[in-house]
Amino acid sequence: MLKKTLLAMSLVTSLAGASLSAAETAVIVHPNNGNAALDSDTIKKIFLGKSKKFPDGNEAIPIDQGDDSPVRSGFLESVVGKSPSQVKSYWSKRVFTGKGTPPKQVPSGAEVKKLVSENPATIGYIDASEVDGSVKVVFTF
Amino acid sequence: MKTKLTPLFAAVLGVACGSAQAHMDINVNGFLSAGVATASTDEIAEGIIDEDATFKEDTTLGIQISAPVSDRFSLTGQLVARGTEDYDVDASWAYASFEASDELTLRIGRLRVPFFYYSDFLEVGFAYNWVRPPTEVYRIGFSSVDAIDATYNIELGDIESSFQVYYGRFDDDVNIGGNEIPFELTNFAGAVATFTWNEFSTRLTYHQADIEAPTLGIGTDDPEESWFGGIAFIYDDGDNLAVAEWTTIDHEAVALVDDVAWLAMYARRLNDQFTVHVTYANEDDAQDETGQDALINDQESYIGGVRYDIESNVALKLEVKYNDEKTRNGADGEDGIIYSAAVDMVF
Repeated sequence: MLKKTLLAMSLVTSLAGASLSAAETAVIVHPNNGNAALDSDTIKKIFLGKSKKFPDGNEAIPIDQGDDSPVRSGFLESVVGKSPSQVKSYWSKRVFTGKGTPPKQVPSGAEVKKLVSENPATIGYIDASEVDGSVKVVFTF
Repeated sequence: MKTKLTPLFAAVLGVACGSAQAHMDINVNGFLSAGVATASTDEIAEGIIDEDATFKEDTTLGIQISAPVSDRFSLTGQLVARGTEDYDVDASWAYASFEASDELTLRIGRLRVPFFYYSDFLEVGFAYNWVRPPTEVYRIGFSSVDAIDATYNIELGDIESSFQVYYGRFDDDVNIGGNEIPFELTNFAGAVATFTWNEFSTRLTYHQADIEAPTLGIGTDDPEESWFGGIAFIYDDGDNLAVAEWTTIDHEAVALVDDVAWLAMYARRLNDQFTVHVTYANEDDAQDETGQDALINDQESYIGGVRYDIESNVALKLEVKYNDEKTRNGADGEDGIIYSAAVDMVF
């Protein structure tokens, strides 16, 4: 019963997200993820490996898009506040000091959506027009 | 420093490749810097660079493997082949890591000694703008220690803080002026505190060790103590990067000279591809005992360079350095220019 309510709620949320604007980018999580919305600072920390948990305390696994994705550069500039080459340099420092590894990169928004819809710990970003009921929108820009 | 690890290197690579299909989480990363440099005169001292094209000074290859063994345990190994050591493979990192909590990480094994701001990624040229960090300040002839350490990361309000302490031992040859000198550093311990507040960071560090180096007559009766201290200030807003780093070394041993060395660097990112930078570096030896006259070196230098990011993981660097060696081995020094070029990659 609770599951159904959550699913219904997330459907509403994601439909609302999708209807805002087709040019927007949506940050998405699994429909069962307990966080109703996330701020950009929280998302930034998760994608930079500085935070490994959602605000509700559950594990957070970021999923990144490929280097040539147009959505990616917009996400990095707007949410992470770094250019793609600065992000590369940031991760080369983290990686070679054993402090962490960059988020897994997948080739398309559809792939991000599929992974996020399968794992409640994941968080990704896709073009808002790709959002459907299989995922929940927690931030748009 | 020249631990021969070639068979191990091959074995580790083999294991990594063999099991990569079975465990998706094994990370294999690498870095390569390939450089060429030349000096206007052989009379100045900058690594092994002379008047002829010198390739080995700035050519380094590193392969790193890291793997989560369980939720809280992971292993990391970084094997580095340096031109300055005839490409003998050396393990710079080889440690087991235990995540005791979200804030606390414990490590044991071979670690980088966190002397300097750039120590942790000293050889990953891609991670900084210079062809090589200024040799006036980055002057210690070894970079790893066998140790146990603890790192505690915590957010204090808006300030991201990191505290690291380690205790270990170093027992290996150190390259001093082209000679491999056996050194033993026991009770080798240190601490680093880093605070980051928006664009501003500061880093404080302190290290000490008991030194024995019989061929230099150091610690023949009892080990002699050495201390290292440093402070760095960093401003980084993405387009502007400024680093000021001040360090000092104090030795009980007469055969080692106390000194103070510092640098100030400013880099400006012009666009996604081009970054220009300027640096001033200064090294000042202090004579605190008799018999040290012939060991004194004083110099300052100016560096100007440009970095061109050809791809998101490939950078080309050109650099000019003016060395003004006021005192070299106790006598009047010379001045000269070093021209350097390098390509840096990471994967």
